[in-house]
Amino acid sequence: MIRRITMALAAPVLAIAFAMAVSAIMLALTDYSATEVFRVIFDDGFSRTNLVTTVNRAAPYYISGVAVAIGFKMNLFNIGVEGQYKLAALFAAAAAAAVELPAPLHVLFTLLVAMLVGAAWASIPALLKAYRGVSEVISSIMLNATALGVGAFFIQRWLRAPATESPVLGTRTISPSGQLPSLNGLLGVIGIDVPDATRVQSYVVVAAIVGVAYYLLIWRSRYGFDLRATGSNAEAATASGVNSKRMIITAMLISGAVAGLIGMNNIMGPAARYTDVSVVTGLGFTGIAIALLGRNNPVGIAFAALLWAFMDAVQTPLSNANLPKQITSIMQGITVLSVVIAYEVVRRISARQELAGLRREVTAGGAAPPPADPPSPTGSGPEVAPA
Amino acid sequence: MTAPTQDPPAAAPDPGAPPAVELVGIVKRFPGVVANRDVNLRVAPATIHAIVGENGAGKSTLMKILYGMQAPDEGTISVDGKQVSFKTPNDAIDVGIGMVHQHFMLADNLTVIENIVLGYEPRRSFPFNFLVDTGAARKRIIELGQRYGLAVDPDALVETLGVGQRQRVEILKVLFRGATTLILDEPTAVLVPQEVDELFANLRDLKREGITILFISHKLDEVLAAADDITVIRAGATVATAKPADVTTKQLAELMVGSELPSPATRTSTVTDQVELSVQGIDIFPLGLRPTLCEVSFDIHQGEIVGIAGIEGNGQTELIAAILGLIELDAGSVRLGGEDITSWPTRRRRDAGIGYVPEDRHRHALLLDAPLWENEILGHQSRPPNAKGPWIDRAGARKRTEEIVERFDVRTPNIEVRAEALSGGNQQKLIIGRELMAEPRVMIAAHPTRGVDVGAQAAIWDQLREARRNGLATLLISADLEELIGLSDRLLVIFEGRIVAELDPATATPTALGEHMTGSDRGEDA
Repeated sequence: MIRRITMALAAPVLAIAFAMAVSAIMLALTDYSATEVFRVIFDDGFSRTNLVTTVNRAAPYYISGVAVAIGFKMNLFNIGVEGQYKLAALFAAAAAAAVELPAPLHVLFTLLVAMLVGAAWASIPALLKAYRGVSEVISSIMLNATALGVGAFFIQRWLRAPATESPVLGTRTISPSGQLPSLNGLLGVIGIDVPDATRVQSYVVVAAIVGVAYYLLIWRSRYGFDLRATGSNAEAATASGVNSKRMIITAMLISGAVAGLIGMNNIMGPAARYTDVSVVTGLGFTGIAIALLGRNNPVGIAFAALLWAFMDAVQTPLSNANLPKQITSIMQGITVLSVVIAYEVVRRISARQELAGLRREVTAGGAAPPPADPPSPTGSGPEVAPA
Repeated sequence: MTAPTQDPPAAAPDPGAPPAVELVGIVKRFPGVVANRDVNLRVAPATIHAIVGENGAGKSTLMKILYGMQAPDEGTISVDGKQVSFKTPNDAIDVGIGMVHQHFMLADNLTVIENIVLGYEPRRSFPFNFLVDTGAARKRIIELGQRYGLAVDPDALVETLGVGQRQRVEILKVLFRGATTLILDEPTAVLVPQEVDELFANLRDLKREGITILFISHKLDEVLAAADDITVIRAGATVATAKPADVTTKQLAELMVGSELPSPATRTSTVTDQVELSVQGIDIFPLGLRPTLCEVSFDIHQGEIVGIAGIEGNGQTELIAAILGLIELDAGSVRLGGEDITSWPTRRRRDAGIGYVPEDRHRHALLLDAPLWENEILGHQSRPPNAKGPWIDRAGARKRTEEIVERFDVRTPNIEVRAEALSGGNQQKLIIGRELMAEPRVMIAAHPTRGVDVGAQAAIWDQLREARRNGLATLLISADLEELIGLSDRLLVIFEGRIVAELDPATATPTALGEHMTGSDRGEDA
């Protein structure tokens, strides 16, 4: 068990160390002091304010990573997460602003709309793949661009708040019942004081629920078994009774539904409405990197999302100290590239160890070949005629 | 152990000539395992030398060493009395050692000539030396064919050739490169009995012309029929050499496994009059192609094993797919215990009690990167003990897997090991166990003992017999005619998508089966 965990951690640790080494060299080449940069990263990076930023940023990263990972678990590459969450954010924001409901229902309603819109957009590549064999990579990546256009069209035409309400192009404001509270108060109760200026967004709770649901669905349910079996060996899964078309469609829909949640953090939080700047761009693509880094594992993705968010957050203290903040982007990139290699290396080593362990155990006793007289179950002996 | 000379090397050839190939003290280690621990081999020139051994005994590694694909860790290789060392297969070809692989490496869309010269093209003379000298190549190939009795039309497209002819092309390819020693890896695995006889006649011609032949096999009858010398390899070491005249198949098998040879025979009939699986008038007509199944009908009763004999690719795969519901029928129906299941999806059929042991376990039966207990779930994921409502019952699945490991003698340290790490025989025992433990009503067993060692084979036969006695209706598809004749209560022969004959296994011989299988009882095909 301990060895298994060590093996699981070896690859990301190696990759991060390698990324830090390369960054140090680049800093040295560009006449910056690597020690100074790493001092800022390790000292200011772990300040309370910075950690809050990290957690806030990690929540959408995590959800995005999970959305991508659901597809990865059955060898579907949902690159369309980007378009799915942006459209979902727009329509969910518009829907949330259009209704008045008691607080918990309002929030649930908004999240549900987001998931439905995400799933609906994902259904296009899903159906194309299942019934026409169109590569989901191609169709979903093209639908990302389409989603932008569709979103712009809808917001210009029907969903925009009147100019009298706000000069900025966007949906109407969501009433407070549809907004998620800050967690600062709750944290204060359990003895963690966070200054009011740095708001701990409760979206991290949504991310946690997504993570638990992801684990239960994929690793504990029959559906998840079918999904993983399809990803591991599609032909064997089909022979075992899995309907591959239905798997493609449902997996893509679930991935899209989760993707729909990615952009809701800010919309249901501080911004309280959809504008061009209230939803961060690129979260869908970051999700691919994070799923990769976290090996599609619910806990692994959490670490990956936190690491990624940390490297984002630490850019502020770096630029405050007049140091090149871009260095953390470089580190993110190198980490992802090297972790792929590191995972493969670790996988080979552990496969070899497992095989060696097996051989030792099975052929224990050295040269002796396996006894060719295995215990025949429930004595079918009499029928075996000697040759 | 009684039989032949125990210590290699023995069989002394012509004392004068140095051995064509000699291996002394070959050791090859892989991380965690010794594939060859002490291999000594002496092959006299212009003889047919067979190497026999169980799967996993180290035959393939030995061949790879001989053919330059892997370098030994210890030991020496000599060819014609001179010590050599190979870094690549090209080095082996340079000293005249050529390999004919079990799976042919031919380009279907090229002609025989083109395949033979591929990568070794004779050039025209300057200034046209960028052109292949097809004329010279053809002349040489015809010459080789005549000399060694390996007639093939040099201009035929390879895709039009039968299996036996393709093998001849493979042999010509090696001879064309100047090989004087041929290594044949399981050359008869893909051939029907008639083709095997032809191959052996070819090999004898080659021998007469001074070619040395080394062939690997685990079909002992053939080894005794064709070889001049036999070397037995067991657990990575050469354990004995023998002359075919001095040993019986039984003695050879004992040498291979160190114990008794099992037999598939299964005589006491347990057939009832209850029809369990009924296939009626199945047609599958792929668009624009020859029908793959045509009016296939048969019944399997409770407690009956029906064997399907046929050369691969005559509709067996489609028949299985039809019964499992993996393919749409153009006509016909499938009934399970009286119920029409023609329109049922695969999952429903499997839940209703159709067990399946596929021919290619890696492709169709296993999740190689998943632990054994997850592999146990596969195909039974909607039933207890593997499922509880919409959830997977991990504890139940693990317990069931433990039972399978115990009852079916799957050799593994624990059930968390990934399926990939098990040997082929143990993988197969796990699959058989998983299917039988689910208590199916009908079992489709395609090549259930393909690629497993003799010990596991006996165990699997036992299991199938036991299940048959308990009333299981089994459809057995196999290329191993002895297995078919030994296990089946009834034999059907499939040829070009039709059931062309029904035979009683008590009276059927491999030769008679072979004739039906090739359609040669109804006019020559090959």
